[in-house]
Amino acid sequence: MEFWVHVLNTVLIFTMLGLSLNLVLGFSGLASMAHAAFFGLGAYSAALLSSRLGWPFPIDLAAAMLITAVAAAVAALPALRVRGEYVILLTLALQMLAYGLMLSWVELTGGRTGLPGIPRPVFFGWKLVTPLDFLPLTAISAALTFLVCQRIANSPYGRVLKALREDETATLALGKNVVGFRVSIFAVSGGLAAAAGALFAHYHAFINPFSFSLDQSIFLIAIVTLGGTGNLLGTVVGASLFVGIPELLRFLHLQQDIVAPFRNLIFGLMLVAFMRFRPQGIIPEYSGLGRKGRAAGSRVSPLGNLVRAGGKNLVAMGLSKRFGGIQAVKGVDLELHPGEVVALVGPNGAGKTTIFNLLTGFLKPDSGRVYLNGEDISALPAWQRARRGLVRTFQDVRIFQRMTVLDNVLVAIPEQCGESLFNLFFRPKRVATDEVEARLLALNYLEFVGLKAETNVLAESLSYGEQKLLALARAMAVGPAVVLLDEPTAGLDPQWVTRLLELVGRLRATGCAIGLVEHNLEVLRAVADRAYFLEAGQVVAAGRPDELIKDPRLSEIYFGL
Amino acid sequence: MAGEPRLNVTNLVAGYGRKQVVFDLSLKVGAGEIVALIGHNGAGKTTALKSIFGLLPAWSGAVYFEGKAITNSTPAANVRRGIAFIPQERAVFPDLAVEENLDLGAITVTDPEVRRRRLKEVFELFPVLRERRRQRAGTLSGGEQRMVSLGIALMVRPRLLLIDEPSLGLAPVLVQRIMDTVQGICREQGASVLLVEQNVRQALRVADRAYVMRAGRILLEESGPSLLARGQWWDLF
Amino acid sequence: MNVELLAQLLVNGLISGSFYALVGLSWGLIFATTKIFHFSHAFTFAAAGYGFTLAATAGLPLPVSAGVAGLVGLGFGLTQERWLYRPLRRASASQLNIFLASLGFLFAGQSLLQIVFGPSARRLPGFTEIGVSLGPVAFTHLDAITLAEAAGLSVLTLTVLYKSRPGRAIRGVASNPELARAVGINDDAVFSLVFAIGSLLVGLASVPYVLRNAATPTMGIGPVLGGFIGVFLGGIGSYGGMLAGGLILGLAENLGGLFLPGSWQPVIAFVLLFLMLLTRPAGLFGQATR
Repeated sequence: MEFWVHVLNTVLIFTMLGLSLNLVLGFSGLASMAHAAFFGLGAYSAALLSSRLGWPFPIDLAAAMLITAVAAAVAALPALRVRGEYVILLTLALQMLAYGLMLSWVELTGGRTGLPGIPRPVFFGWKLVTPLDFLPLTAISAALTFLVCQRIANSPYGRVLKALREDETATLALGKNVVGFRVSIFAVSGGLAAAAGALFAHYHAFINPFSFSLDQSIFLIAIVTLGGTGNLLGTVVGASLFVGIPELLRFLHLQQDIVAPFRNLIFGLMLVAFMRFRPQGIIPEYSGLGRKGRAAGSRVSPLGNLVRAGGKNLVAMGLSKRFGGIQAVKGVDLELHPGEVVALVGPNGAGKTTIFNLLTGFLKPDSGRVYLNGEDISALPAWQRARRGLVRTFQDVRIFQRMTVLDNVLVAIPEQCGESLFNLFFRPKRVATDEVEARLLALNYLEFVGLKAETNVLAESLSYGEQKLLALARAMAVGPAVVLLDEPTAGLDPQWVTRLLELVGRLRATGCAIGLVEHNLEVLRAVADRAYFLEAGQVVAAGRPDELIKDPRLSEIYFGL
Repeated sequence: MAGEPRLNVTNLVAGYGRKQVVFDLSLKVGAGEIVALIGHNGAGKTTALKSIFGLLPAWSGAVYFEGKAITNSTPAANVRRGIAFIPQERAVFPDLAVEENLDLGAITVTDPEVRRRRLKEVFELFPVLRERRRQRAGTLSGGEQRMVSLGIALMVRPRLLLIDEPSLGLAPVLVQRIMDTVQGICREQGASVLLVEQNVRQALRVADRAYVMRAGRILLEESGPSLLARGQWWDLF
Repeated sequence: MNVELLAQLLVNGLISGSFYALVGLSWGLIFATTKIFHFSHAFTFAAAGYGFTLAATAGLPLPVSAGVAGLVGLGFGLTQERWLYRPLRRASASQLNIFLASLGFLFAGQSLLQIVFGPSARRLPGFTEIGVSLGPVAFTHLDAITLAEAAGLSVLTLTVLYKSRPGRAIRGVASNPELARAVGINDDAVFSLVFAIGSLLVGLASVPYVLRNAATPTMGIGPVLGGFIGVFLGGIGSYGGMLAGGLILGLAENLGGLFLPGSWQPVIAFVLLFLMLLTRPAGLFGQATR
């Protein structure tokens, strides 16, 4: 009997580990190889604080969580600012470092022989000794961990994490502080893993480094991946199956040194097989299990309320950019004013998209400055420019494929209360009311572009034209003062083009300043108030489209000499 | 155009991802002919060219080269048949030297004597490249990189050249030179050329025939000189 | 400052740095060309090491056993390209999923090695290192072999990359994969080739490692991690940079011995990586554009 309870306790502790890893691996798409290190850091911290300094049970656990959360955030910081493979590399090095320290810092950790004599927790005079004693504690801890992870996953904060995972560039363009989100989720994940570690330490009353090795990190990744990344229930299933069954096999008194490698062999093979044939895992992310919050009855408010009141002036001076031997942009000056649609026109390769990238902060210019309503934003990164109302769309659309249409727009809405972890847990009422308002807002935008019927559909199943409209709704949801549309009508059938142009017109009517790159000259004539004519990275002419078209010099440039 | 067209495309449908860009495209290029495919950006010209060459799948329709069906062949197979493709951008190997770039163009040519000879021909055509043969291609100017990309294609002595916007990002003088070069290659080597271009005037100056594409379909087909004579094309774009 | 100690540490650093450089080049070549984070390269190392141990224990002369190690590495490397990565590529798997599959393969492979050979270290009987003294500096003949092997194989590999047609094709694919396809380069063939070269190299690199330490199922992780760090320190865009990065790592780890006890080497590796990512993610010799 006690044996079954022990298995259950182990499953519960590993469930906590799996859930916390899923936050990083599944929801954020970051392959952390250091989860066992965080598990171990929590275990050793709690063990040392309780046995050497005499700290009582829940206090040492809390301290272990805090220490590990901070360590996780600091250690991972440089990698989180750059690309995917760096996270793998840095966390791998971190894992090896931690393990190495556990083995070699003998005075602190006891080295290979480990730390014995970890005190048992005492609750109101009742000492937890047997597995059965521990069961309520582990069960409650696992449940709490699940609730915390669920709260995070289904929140505005979780939405941003998923968007990050889908397309980091597009998320930056919405004004989200990508690095901030990544660091905070790493900290949370590390802290929860440490809680599991502290429990583990007190449960076994003895720890040694071998529970916190790279193999363990890989095993945890396997549990989460096989169970289903991005799905918490999947992790519960994964932990139950993949931890429970091998533990039960011990019951059959199989040779200990055979069980572990056989288990790992099978899991390794399963991981390969799943990645090939069922990468979404046992329970996929969108399994239709309980999507909360159906679209409430809608209320169409006039668009003026939706968009930030009034636009801003965008001024660029002397922008230049060179790529290797090619001068892509040279000394470009331009201005966008509120309530105006300004087009950038020119042959292919004239530098139009490069200029957009320079204006929005996705590329650093070699020289030149950008001003938004007089404020010099040249040094600001892309996400901060977006927060000031400078918003863009992309030539290659870049919607968040594995999120619903509604979530695509919801995530764009700025200053959401629920994007802060503090608010999520300490101001739930404000987050809830804020979310209701945000939903209504998002639905209004979807109605504006005509996608209201598709709210709960995954974005990847939309047609190309619908995806472009979704991208527009998403850009509008940021509440832009200036919108830069990169080839908005490219690849669209004529009726979609008309639709899009109508929307652009309505957007202009709200006072927004609109810039667009456009190749379709019919569109240009229909919607642009002014145009800049670019050639080989320089502005060659500026003025109203019908005047420009009459200019023979421009005809030469556009159609060649 | 007498006899079997060198390139015959019938009812091509193509796109990328889930985006359909080319709807029912048909065109022909005869032996030794220069045919221009013009139209506004986003009309599907590059997609069409890539599908013909095998860099993108053709969703339906057929492509014939010298009478043989080559629909959805791999680019490598097409190069061996004598078809060369010059992309619009990133058309060189930036980290490799100019000479190495050209050598890779001849990767399918097994005889080293032939490779040496062709390299010499390319250097004769573009003396600037001989000067810069050891320089890394990514550090060359835009015009020089365009020459390298042409040179790469010429290393297989192609019977069909598919060129995507050769004038891209080049100053007018250079564009003229490139077009003249293309015309020269066609005349001297008997190569056929299918040229996607946005620089209408330059393309029509050297083209025997032209197709105008708009929103994924062929709008009209006309001889180069007569289309050029129109003088302006705003209504076609 | 003890000059003799410094000289000794420099030599030690050079030796272990050359090892990292070789392992790093073997992995970095694969990564630069295929963009696959080939984590299971650590398994190839381990398998080759066991191959060497078996061959040597069976009585084959050491150079022949080393050849066996190389072939074992080559075999497993090609197997992984053909049966692990290629099907995933055809199925358009994401970068993350390809990495996870690599992780799974490593996990399975190491476990298999453990089942077959047992977890404890397998030392090669009858091999002892011979000490050599050169002035104030002491090293063993195995150290000299390590350095010579690393130097020789690196030069050989660079020669192949820069002076042969297949090498040029490899660099072409690394530089512009789309254009490589457009000129008719068979990218499947090139992928197989880099996996073959990289795995052969890492297999040969395992030989002096196994002679010095003993063979264990997880022995590949440490060396390959050192290789990764060296590659990223030096910068992915340059093969010479990858080699230099490995040398720098080796030197740093050993010179760090002036200040820290020996078992703190993983600290140095981590700190170097941390600092590099913080200040210059493209690596010391890499270009920022990618």
